[in-house]
Amino acid sequence: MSHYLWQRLLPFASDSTGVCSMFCDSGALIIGHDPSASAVRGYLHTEWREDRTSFNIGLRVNEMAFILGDIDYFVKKYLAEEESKRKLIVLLHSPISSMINLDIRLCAMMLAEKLPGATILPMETNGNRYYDAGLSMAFVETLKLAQQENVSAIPGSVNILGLNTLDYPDAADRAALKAAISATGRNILAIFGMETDIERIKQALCAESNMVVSASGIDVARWMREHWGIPYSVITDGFSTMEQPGRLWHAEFAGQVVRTIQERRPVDSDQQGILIIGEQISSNLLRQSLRVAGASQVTVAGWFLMDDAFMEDADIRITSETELVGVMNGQRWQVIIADPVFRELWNEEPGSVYCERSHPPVSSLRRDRGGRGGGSRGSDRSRSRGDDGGRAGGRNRGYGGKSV
Amino acid sequence: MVQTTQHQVQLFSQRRREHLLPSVPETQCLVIGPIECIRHCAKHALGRENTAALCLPDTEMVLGNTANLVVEAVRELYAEAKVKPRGFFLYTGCQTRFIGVDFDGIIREIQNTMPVRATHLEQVTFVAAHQSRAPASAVAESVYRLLPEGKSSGKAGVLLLNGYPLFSNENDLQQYFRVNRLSLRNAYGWRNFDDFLSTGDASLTLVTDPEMLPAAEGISKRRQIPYVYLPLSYRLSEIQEAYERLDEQFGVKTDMSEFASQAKTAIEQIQAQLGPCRLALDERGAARPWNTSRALLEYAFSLGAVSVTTNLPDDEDEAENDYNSSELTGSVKENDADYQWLVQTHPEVTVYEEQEEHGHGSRARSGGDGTSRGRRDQRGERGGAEEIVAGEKSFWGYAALHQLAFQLRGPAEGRDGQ
Repeated sequence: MSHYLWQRLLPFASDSTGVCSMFCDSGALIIGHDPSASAVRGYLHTEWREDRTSFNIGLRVNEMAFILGDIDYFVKKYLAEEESKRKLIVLLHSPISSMINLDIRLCAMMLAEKLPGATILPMETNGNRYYDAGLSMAFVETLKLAQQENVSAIPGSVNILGLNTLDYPDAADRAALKAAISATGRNILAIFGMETDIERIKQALCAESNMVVSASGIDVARWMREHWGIPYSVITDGFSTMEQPGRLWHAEFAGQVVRTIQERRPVDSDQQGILIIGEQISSNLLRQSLRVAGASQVTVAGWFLMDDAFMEDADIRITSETELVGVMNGQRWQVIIADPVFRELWNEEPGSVYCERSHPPVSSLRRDRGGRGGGSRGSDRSRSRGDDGGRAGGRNRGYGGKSV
Repeated sequence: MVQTTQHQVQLFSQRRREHLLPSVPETQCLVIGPIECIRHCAKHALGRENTAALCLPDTEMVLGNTANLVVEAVRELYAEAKVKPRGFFLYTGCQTRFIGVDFDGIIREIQNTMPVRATHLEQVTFVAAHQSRAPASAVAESVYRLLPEGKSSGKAGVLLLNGYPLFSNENDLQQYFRVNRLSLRNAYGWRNFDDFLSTGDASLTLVTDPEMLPAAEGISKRRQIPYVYLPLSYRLSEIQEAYERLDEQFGVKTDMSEFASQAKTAIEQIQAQLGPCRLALDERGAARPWNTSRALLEYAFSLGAVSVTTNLPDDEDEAENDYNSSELTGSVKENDADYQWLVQTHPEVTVYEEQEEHGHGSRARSGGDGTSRGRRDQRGERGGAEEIVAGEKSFWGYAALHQLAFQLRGPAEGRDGQ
């Protein structure tokens, strides 16, 4: 039962948030299929960006329109929108249009007939999955736009799969990640997750390889390998030989964590180990940085996509608030690295440390101007509050407090 | 002590009127819906004491498991609560409405198997998008469904259902009840759940806010308590009529001339202080903007503009569309006598209508029906008029006029200094 019950936390960002995040700087018109626009609003609450170029709206139709499923009516409503002349239009299912099974693909097809030259992308979100599922879905849908004939690989080219502003909220980190990949001598062809450029996506199948940087990119990487023979690697694969990831915040942060562990000896031998709670691949990257810095026992726990292939034996897949409480308090961790809102679930002990590493889909951090910020480097930025003033599960507790 | 319901108003109220509802102590709220809606709609509520969410996947709903899961969730919340709740509010959205969940049955099951009362509020955005007042009134109505059915003993005085708490013990309404030795119970600040339940023994419900009418009707059916509706007003004549109706109700004769005199004096003083100043009225603080506008004009103020928020159907064709159900009644202004009076007698007054938006900002509407209209600008000067937020803390009666006077005096003398 507890699986569906949220008593202390706010449910995390949904699939539509992931889709909106992918298209936020593509200049798209994003249409959510409910008047309250919870789909697109969910994204805006999670990730507020002044540099966003997408135009997000909720379609103002009443329930009878959904029940009757009159596609012509919906198309008419789309066309009535002031911004319907945009080159890219993304149609998002709301929970209700999904449940009632509005044929959103047919809506897209009929809209495409009315708007020749525009790209219409239907997204079968349902509001019941998390942001990473939405991102993954968006990758697959956009990949359908890729040119599939006369494809020849461009030597040295690579697609980055899963680089997004929700898992990598800091613009400097995203830039460092891209620089690290470029530094290996490869040219970045297309990015799936942000800076969505349809023309570049169309060339995605010409890439010689794919690089996965978050769990949301794994499915599409496998699909491209199976169908197009494009091999993929994960950012953590080449960590030891890749110099540039060391410039990410992970290295600096990991060094701080390990120094803190060395300075604060545990009160007894039971208190040991580091627990990272977060997105799988970026958490794995942090784990490697911690190990390079000298940490030994590091466990990754994830609520979102946790792919078996990238889990170590001790890693944990969390499915409910109750389980999360159990993981955080079942073992006497010396260090927990997690989003600030999880902190209240932890029974803090002397000698233990909670390192705040913000994850926007959890804590709804609001971007600073210019897209930078978002708080993911421990003490300094983790104190920035979300757009909901820290109420999102924080029980009115601010994000400040002990960090590394 | 457990406190729950104030934030429930924020939860779904499209107007974000935080003080609309009384707090009902010792109650717990369970919000039911998909992750996406709960994260968006309930973000201000969740994370507080005694509010929880049940995120049901659509597969569970489609398979008919909703009722069992809701009852189980309530049991779990009750079992885990350190202070056992006496009541549960079940809030749902579009999905359970579309799928047709039997919440009456769920509530019966909860009440039969646990020592708690329960009530259900269905907040559907498809309706709310077109009727801004529906959510708040529906929330209020749901609160009083916690009262058990039966006949009131009539020993608990008069229940006042108002949109805002009484800010002063000295306002005219309370004075009226004091003078006549009648007990007036304000629908805010219940001491405990039993105190709340005792409202079921009121002798009369006095309603001053139209949003509270459904609640009064509900109480009337549930507890056989009659109600009288005397809407908050800024017009002296209307206030006088309201007291006369109350006198009739209670069989008394009350002299309110002292209050009327004070109100007139206050208004004259403000007029002298303001001089020939042009005013603009913002409805955010006025429960009845058209009535307030009429009062200002009757008192010979110069009114330049009225700014209101409405929830009209989005486009013209929707009004003619077959999909337009009876729920989509549009703005209440067409039925408002004060609005008609304003349109017919003062066409020079500009009406700024802002449509409530549920996505990405707001849209201003324009269209001709007698008044000139304009796009709502940022707060501040509009067409050379000073902006007044009237009645934010005022209450029905002569004291409201004092409050109005107080607010009007603001631009001339500084609001803080008064």
